[in-house]
Amino acid sequence: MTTQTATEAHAPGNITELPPRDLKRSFGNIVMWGIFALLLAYSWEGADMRPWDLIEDGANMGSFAAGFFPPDFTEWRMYMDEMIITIQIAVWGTALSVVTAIPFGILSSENLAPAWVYQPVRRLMDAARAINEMVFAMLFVVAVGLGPFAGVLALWIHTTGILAKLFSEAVEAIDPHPVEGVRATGATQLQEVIYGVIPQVLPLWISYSLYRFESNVRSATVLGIVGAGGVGMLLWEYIRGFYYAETAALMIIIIVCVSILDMISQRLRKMVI
Amino acid sequence: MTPYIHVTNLSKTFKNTKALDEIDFTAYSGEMVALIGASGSGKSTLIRHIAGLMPGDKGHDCGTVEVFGKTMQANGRITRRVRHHRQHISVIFQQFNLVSRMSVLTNVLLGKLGRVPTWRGSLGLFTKAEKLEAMNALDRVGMAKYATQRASTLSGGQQQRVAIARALVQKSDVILADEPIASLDPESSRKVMETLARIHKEDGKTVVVSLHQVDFALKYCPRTLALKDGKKHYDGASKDLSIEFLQNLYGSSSLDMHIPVPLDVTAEETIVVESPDAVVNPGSGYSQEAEPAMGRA
Repeated sequence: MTTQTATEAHAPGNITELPPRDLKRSFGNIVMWGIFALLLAYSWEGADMRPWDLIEDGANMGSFAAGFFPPDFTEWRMYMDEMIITIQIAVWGTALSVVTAIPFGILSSENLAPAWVYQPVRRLMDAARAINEMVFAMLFVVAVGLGPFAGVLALWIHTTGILAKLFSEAVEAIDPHPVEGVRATGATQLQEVIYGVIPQVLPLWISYSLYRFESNVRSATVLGIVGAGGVGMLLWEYIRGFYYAETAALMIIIIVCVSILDMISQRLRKMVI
Repeated sequence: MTPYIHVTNLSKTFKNTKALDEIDFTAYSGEMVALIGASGSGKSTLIRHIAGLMPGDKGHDCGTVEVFGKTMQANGRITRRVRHHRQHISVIFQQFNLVSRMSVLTNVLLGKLGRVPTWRGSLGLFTKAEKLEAMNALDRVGMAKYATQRASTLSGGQQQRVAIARALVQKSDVILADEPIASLDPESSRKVMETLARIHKEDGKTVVVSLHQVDFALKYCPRTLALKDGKKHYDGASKDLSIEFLQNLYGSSSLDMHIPVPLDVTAEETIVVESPDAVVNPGSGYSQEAEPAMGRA
């Protein structure tokens, strides 16, 4: 009856019924949540979940936490020196990886490279991403000796893998028209990339690179644990020697430095986009 | 006369539809040819084939495209030398195809890429003379004062004129324009077509322009090539086109085509259509709005 009147003369603003529920979709929702719950339950055992231990051993935790106070800043000059080295590792690691990620990123883009090029390059980048930088750091410590250079190399390899993927995703989302415009002038393939592709992806590329720099500063703070230079070495020594007041001071310096760099880099990223 | 563009027996099939069906087309030096036809009739496809941006159907004697006596493609294979040959052809696109984040001047300089040494083009090292040439090209299309702006800050019509300047510095003898005014408002369309016609007249360039609006085709182009369903439907003087023919060409969509209403039009007479209200009207293109123009003609 209502539909009939609607077809004859539709008077807007008189809808009294809601659209019917999509049963298929609500059923799908329930199944999805069920699977999620099952996954959590299945992982409980393996992850050794003991939440009540937090309460039972609450007193222990309290005395452990008390050891961190007050933080001991007497050696702050050395902490700052190590922190600056950490940042320098991140600067070089990121800079090198940006340089290598540009060709690898272009070669792993579907719209620029043929399948026989982008498939192997992508797999290579997958490998660089799959292995954590800590693992690379351990390997490079063996190869080039203890110290920051091993950290730089580790960050370089791992970040190249990440940036190449991000760069190629930006390239695959470009507007093809300007590229065709450049092609029609008789440009070479390289010139098509330089003038048709790069100007379009540059803001995103800069933004991704800065974001990776932030992440690399955070990663570099732990590289020292395996002997690859920076503040991590110090941190590891203090924790192992139960110097909790010093550890606290070091952690505060890391937090402040990382936060400041994050803020600066976020500003810069907003400027380029 | 040397044929500047020589297309023989060209076909292109997209998933069972023939976009181009055995097209033969020859344009001589200094011609301005309009390419008309309904949407999907193969206008853009033909232009992209001539520019060597798209290969035709593969197979023996499946069509050749020669520009300037140089083979762009034959039997569905684009020649290896196509990048070199493309410098003789400038293409103007419906979507302008400028690099929007680069300055207007740099966009125009890109037209030089086919002519300067590869290393210099790749590094963007253009000489002062080349930059001045680009500035003068911009001046000819009335865009010199925008040279330092980013291309993205310009309106559609302005961008298209920059694209024409890019075509100018390419110093090619053939300009292919693929629906250059299809996404522009009537006033910008008029300006862009005026610019193209002026360049054709002053530099004697061969221009092939595909157009959606028949009135523009009749007004600016002495010769018309009409396509229908990928087949050549008409090739000859624009003034011999009859209204019945055009309505047949466009079928039911003829109302959108701005087919000028006066019967037995000649290319010269249609210029009368250019009156303030007629220029404003083509955008809407319904018959009752076209009537004032008819009365005047």
